[in-house]
Amino acid sequence: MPRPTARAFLLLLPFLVSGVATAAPVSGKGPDGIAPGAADAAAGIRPDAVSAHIRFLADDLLEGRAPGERGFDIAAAYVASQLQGMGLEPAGDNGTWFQSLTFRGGKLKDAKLEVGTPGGAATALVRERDFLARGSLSSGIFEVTAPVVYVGYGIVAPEFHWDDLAGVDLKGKIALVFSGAPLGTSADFFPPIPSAVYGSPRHKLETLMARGVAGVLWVQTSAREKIFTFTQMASNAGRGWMTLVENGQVAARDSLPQAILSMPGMDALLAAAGRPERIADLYAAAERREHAPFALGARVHLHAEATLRTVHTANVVGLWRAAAGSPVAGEAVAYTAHLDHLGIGKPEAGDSIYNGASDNAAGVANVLEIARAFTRLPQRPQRAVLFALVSGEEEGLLGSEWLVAHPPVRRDGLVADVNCDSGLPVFHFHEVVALGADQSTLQDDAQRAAAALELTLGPDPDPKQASAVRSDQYSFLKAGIPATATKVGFGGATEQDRAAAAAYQKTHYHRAADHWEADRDHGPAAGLARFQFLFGLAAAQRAERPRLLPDSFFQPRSGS
Amino acid sequence: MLVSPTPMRFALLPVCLTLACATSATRPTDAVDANGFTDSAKSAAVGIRPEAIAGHIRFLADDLLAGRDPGTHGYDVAARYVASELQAVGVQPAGENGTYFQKVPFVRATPAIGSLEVTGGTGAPVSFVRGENLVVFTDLDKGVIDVSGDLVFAGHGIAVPEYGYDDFAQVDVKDKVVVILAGAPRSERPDFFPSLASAVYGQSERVASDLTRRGARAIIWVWPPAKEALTPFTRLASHYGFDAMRLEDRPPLAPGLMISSDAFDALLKQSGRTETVADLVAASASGKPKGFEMRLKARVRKESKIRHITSENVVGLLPGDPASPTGKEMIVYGAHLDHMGIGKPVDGDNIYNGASDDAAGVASLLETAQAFTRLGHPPKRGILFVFVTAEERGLLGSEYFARHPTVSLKDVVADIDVDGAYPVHPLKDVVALGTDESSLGGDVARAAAALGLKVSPDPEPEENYFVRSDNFNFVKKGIPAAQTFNGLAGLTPEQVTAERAFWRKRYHQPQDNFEPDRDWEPFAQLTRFNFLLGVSIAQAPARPTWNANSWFRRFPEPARPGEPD
Repeated sequence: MPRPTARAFLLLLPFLVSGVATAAPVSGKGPDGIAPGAADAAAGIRPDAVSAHIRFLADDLLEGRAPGERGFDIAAAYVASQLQGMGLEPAGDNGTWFQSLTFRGGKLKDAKLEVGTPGGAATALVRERDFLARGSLSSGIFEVTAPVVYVGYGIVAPEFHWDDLAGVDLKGKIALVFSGAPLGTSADFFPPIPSAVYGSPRHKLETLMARGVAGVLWVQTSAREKIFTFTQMASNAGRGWMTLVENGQVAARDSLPQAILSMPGMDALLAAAGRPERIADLYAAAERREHAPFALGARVHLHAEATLRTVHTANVVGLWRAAAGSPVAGEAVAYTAHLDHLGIGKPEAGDSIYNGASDNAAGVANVLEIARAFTRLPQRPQRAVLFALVSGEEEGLLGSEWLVAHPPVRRDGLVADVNCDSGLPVFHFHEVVALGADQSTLQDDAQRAAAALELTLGPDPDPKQASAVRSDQYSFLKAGIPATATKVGFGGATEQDRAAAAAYQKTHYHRAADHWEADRDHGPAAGLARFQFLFGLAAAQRAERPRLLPDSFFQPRSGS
Repeated sequence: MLVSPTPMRFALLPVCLTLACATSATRPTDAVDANGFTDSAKSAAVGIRPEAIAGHIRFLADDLLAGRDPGTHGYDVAARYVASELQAVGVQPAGENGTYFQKVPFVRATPAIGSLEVTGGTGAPVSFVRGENLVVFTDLDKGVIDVSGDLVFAGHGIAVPEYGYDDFAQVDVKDKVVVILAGAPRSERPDFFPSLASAVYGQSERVASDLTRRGARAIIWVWPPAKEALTPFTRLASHYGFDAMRLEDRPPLAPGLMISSDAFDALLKQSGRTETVADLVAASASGKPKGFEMRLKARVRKESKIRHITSENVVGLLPGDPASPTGKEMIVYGAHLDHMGIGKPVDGDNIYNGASDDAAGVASLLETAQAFTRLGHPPKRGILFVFVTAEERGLLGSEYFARHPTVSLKDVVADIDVDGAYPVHPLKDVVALGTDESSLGGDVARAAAALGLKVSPDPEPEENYFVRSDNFNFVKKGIPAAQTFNGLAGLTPEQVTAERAFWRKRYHQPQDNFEPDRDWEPFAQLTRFNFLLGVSIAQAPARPTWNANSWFRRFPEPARPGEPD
């Protein structure tokens, strides 16, 4: 749906109206059609500069940039210095570059999960084989004994005519639910994005807690086992987990007793309760929309204890102001990239520092060079541009959640987000992807930016991953703000390119080996940054405020 | 004259930031002004922005870097920061093995116990208390020292034939504990320890190495009354709580201590002598130094914890124009990346951040590097940026670089050292130490004139900072050097008072923090001066030279026995 020619003139309108029009000729094609001087500004994004940022941020000295650790704080200080050096304005608390965040972190000390039947002896499930638990993030302790009710996926989605909770009384009960959501191929049966949203623990907990549950037992499925195995979950459990603290409080869901059952653990639970069903049957039925809820007739006792700690971290935020006199100067387009990574973890080949060069030093590097590109434009943009390097992404998009709830600009001033968190592009690409942009008018801006660089705008290469809701842009979409995650696509790519990308992903993603590489060609990374720059610039320049499309899944709806 | 720093930034060519790209982009008219600067050089200078400098200082002086102490995480983070910045602007690695880094091996020691006992004589025995009348230099050679010997006094402990001066004419220091006056005689005459020569001959490591070679068992320095007036002994003593360092390849030195003038006066009495410290200083100053057996026995004991560490110099090169006959030559910009680390708390703060000393100099170099990339063409000489470690421990990183250069030192034609510069008032004048000794004085005048700045003389000639800074390690190799900082011209008396108070509060104190509200334009202006000074030197057809009558023409000196070259 490209509409290339007429838009160039429309884009000029704000300049003409606000009296800040430039004498420089604006051609309809190429970057200068988006804003005067954009071609030079984009061309000024150099691979060396991108590489240098990644080199610093992914150095072992930064120890994997875990929130609350000195390595993250150094990264934050670095980013603040860079933004200051470029001449941006601090947009954080009290005139600083930092939006202070408090997280509560937990690490499990001890947990037990017992199944008791009336008159029978209690059966204890085995930790890390049958189940994993966390502790309450308010008191440290989960303690519940309650009857258990199986409710399939535990999803209520009226627009898909789906209600797992119809006619079930959950008050005071422990809900036994499959993790995730079905993923169908037809529009009426959980397309990828609704599947990811309805399948998210956060969304389900809101629904279940509204019904008064006393706890939740999550059940691992074979579909999820393919993405992240229970064994991987168990081996990662030592890292602990975190949540946001606001006014000294964590969200109610963080105090709700919960545990995750492995697939054998689910069968063990069913057997101990004396039920004839097994996970395979139940899962198949749930996938076929044939599930029927039932009470297990057993009570479960869950006890879990965690040590808690308070973690102080920050988002780093800088603002590039809009042109004076612009009618939309009070609005801001945000660029986000997460500054945090996994920190120090289990050694792999003798290396315990998870440097996160591609996740997401690369995204931070791009955002920094995009900011510099904005400062090189001969005129300020029509909308302000907010550069936010956020914390706590790896812990569940915590920093971006805070950013959206506490925008450093006017309350309704955040109009769009271009998130940069897609790994390091490792081949010279011809196609770019703007995940989630199809939910909003951002698709047009993505199209303009791609065309200006003679790139194609391709589709999501792996829609089943629902990547549109798997990074910080989701925090914006949830709040009804148009948002996108940018990445490179495989259109026009050779088999060699695909193989290189797959190999890089396999050896780097969430691995200790995700280092900065001196001999890596950072040209593709700079190329992606040029696209991201022009994309956000197009959104900042357009006359109308970016908006969700009327039929977007993220349009605010009653009951969601 | 360049007056308006900010509006030009958009006029810069944004695409051609690297020299490789810029070589083909010649400006159609690049007029040269009366001071020899092209329009592109002046516009590159104008592009040096205060906020860019502030950004660097903010990072380097952050508490997270814990005062950039060599061998610590904080220093290493600073070194990585500088390397990334150099890479980002297109400065090539010029350290070891194709990296930006030069590994410097050090010995580092933490002081533990230390004492001095003096027995014998006819007068009342003097008791020595650390921090009051005694400083025990941290031993870097053995770790455990217990030496005794007869005490002799040997003037300043130096012999300089060209001035007819010999402290060893009357005493033999072999196997003795030697008491000497710190420093060297000084006069206004060219034929007897002129100021610079006095500072060089009086340097403690030079004197200690000589006395060690002559067989001294230990050296007791006396902090003379003239120095006491500048820096009280108790203040001096407070600096010795920090670890000491030496280069790994420095030959061993006789163990050292320092005592106050008062303590030495008391020792003279204990030994039954009639002279005072003032008499002995006067005798040396007259060219007829005294030397005598004190008929006392001294025992020096000390212990320290010694370890071996590595810290890195960071080195980057913007190559000169290969088409230029001087393209292989280089000028060096230097600043020190280290500061003092963590130490004694003052007002609840124990991190010695060193914002002005020398995060500011590092920031200035980084923006100078960026300005050179904006010239639009490679300079006629290469520009080498050397960020050294362990300046605060005795100019060690620069000494190592000068002795083990990662580039050909014979191609280095000048050194510009940026240390101690931190203007807090609008900049009206600059000081360029050492440049009245060489042709660099002309370059200084041109760069200053282009910016409408005055050139002021050294405000504290008695301190001889020029031979007490990193640049001296280049001077010793025969390379003309400049140390640049802001002067005090045009300031009201109140501003001068405020400036002095500011320094007292901050110099080598934890209060030397980044100040977010400071106006960094004066420092940007000083950086523009540093940049144009380098442009002037780099573009001149002739290589810089020492003045015909300069005292520094004696360098490079041949290596003396027992010293590494």
